[in-house]
Amino acid sequence: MPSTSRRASSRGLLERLFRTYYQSKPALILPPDMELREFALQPFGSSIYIRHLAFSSYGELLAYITRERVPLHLYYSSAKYEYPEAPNMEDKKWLGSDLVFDIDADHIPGCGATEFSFCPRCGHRAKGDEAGPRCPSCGAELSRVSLVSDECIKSAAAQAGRLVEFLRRDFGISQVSVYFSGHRGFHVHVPCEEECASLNSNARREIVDYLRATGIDVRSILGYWEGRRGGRPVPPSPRDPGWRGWIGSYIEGLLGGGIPSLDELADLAYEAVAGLRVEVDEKVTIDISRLVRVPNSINGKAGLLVREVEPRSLKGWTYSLSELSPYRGRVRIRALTPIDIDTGGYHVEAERGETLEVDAPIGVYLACKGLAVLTSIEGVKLG
Amino acid sequence: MSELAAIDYAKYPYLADVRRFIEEHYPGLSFEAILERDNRVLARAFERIEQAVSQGRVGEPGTYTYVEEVLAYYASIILVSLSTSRWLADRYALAEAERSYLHMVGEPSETLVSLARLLGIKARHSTTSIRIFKTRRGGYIVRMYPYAIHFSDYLRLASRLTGDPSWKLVNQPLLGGWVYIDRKARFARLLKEAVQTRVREQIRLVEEVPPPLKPLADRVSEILSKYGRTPGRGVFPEAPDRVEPEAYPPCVAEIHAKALRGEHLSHHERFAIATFLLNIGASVDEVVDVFRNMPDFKEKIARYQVEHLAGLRGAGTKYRVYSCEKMKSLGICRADCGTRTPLSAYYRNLRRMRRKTEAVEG
Repeated sequence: MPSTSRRASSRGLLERLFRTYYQSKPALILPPDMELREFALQPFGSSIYIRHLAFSSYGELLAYITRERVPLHLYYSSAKYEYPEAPNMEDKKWLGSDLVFDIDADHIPGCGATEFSFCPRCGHRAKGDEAGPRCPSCGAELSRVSLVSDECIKSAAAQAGRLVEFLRRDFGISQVSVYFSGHRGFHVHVPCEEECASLNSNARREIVDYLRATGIDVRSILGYWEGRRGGRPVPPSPRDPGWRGWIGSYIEGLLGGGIPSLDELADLAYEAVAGLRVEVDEKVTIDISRLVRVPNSINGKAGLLVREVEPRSLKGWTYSLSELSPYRGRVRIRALTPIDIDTGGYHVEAERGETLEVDAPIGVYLACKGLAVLTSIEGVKLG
Repeated sequence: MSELAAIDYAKYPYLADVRRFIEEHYPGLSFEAILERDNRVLARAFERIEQAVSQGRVGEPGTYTYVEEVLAYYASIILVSLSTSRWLADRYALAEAERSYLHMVGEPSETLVSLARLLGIKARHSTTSIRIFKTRRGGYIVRMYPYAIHFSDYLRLASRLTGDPSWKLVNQPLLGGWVYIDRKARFARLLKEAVQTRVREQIRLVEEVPPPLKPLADRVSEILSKYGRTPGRGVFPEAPDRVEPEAYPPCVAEIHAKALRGEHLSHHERFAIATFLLNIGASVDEVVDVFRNMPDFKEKIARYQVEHLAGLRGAGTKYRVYSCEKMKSLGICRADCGTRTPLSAYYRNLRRMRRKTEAVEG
């Protein structure tokens, strides 16, 4: 089984790259109350998470992830616990949770991921997940690949920017940190000390519904009840509280000289809501014991850093592998399936089985995506 | 922050600091001594409990004085706690909240804001208003927002109300962290939720029971029996730390065993076990796990359905368990538990088990 062992050694190379990164003592951004957080990681070569870890210092954490288990994915809990290392939730004694939001590019309307699977042994390829877990022609385990366009990742950045605005203007929350997820989305963390820490799942769902405009009653917001006796609605102003203000900012300048009827206004308002709603992932926000990626760790799905982004720069944010990767220099890879990819500033085309030398950021990306294996990492540097 | 408006404790007795209140009105006397001296306090306390049970609302004090009313409130929550009836504790808290609500809608807005603060709510007065409609005559209809409440408190208080779209956060005027409230009735409705929680909490926290009150638990039981309610059973069934399968009533135990063996369950059986488990404090994950061996198990679908039953999806209604009666009519009842729902049977079994363990350890 030469191909299996070569893949295994390639995984070894990827693991070595990740270990090298963590050995360089990167500036992982940890919460000030890290000793109250559960840490978790998915190690290389295992689909099982190691959970219920607790560390009281950066050094302790670093020692673990460089000596014990190198993480493909590294997390800490959005929740604070009295006993973060306790193996079950009841014994952990929940003390409160930060408010976290996740915007994933493949959840943005019109941005579904392109998914396919292929057989690394015989090359058989199938669209989506129509194939089972095993190759129909040779029985080997299939590899699954999921890709989204750069445009969609940029849309996610723009949505993250709008989320920050909603939090600031409507919720009065300005202390937020925004992170590129290291794959294709954005995470927004709101550290919660008092009021927001104790919000339960239902309350957090109401916040999600607010951002996604789920259950919005546009007509009431526009004054349907007050206008039952006739007259004309006053168009919303951008200064108005709540969604009315957002509708106001959207329609500002769109209204001609005449005063619109309630129906005309409602049509515009629906358009505004569809255009301004923020596609946050409900599951993430309502989960009061969610694991979130450690900022400045590597996301094993794409080999990119979980990197902080200035909220102001989200609008014109560019998705560039060379800027988001912890690596530079060159690597050699071997394509496991035909590759024709254009992403993050790189274009790679390769036949199945072809070996080629590429820049480290795209090489590691393709290896993490499972499209290729690393065959040499001698030319890689950090930074 | 503006000055707190004067609060009439006869209307909102749960806000009074009972120790200070006694010192002020009966310097040097203990609560116990007052109860022995003035039997009107106890009479009113029982009257309050009876009104809560029979009408769902505590009535006005009539000829009782301001001081008697406040002390009667404290006597009544001690008596409710002595009864060990969870139903009565919930009922009494709601009845007090119903009464407060009626008072609150008649208060000036400054008083309401003060009440909110005393209830620990971050609330303030507001002068925000928006022009909403222009009438045919050229005037404006203005939406006034005299109250503002911090969104985190709003979400806490409105959690049982958001099934109605008009309470959903998405339809509230939210700005800078404040939810603006237009009508007094809506603001008072939120405070009512806070009052209910406060009173329920005060009942739960009763520690010292003055000796003269101890023998009176039977009289509370009599009130309950008079209105067809089961008296308490000696211990409050505390929310258990974890689910205790040994205490499952027979019908639930059988469905549970079938599920684990991977036998097919009918729709009703699935509903019955899922709502039961959710109500005794099992997590969505734990409930989904029960269905894992089902022949037609699909994690995504099962999870969706369980979350729906738990009120985490859809309109947010948490589904109640089938009553024993209903289980009988569906043919899934296995024994006569002598209770109204499998839940009461579970808690009864749990109490019996605990008593046994205590006896062994003690």
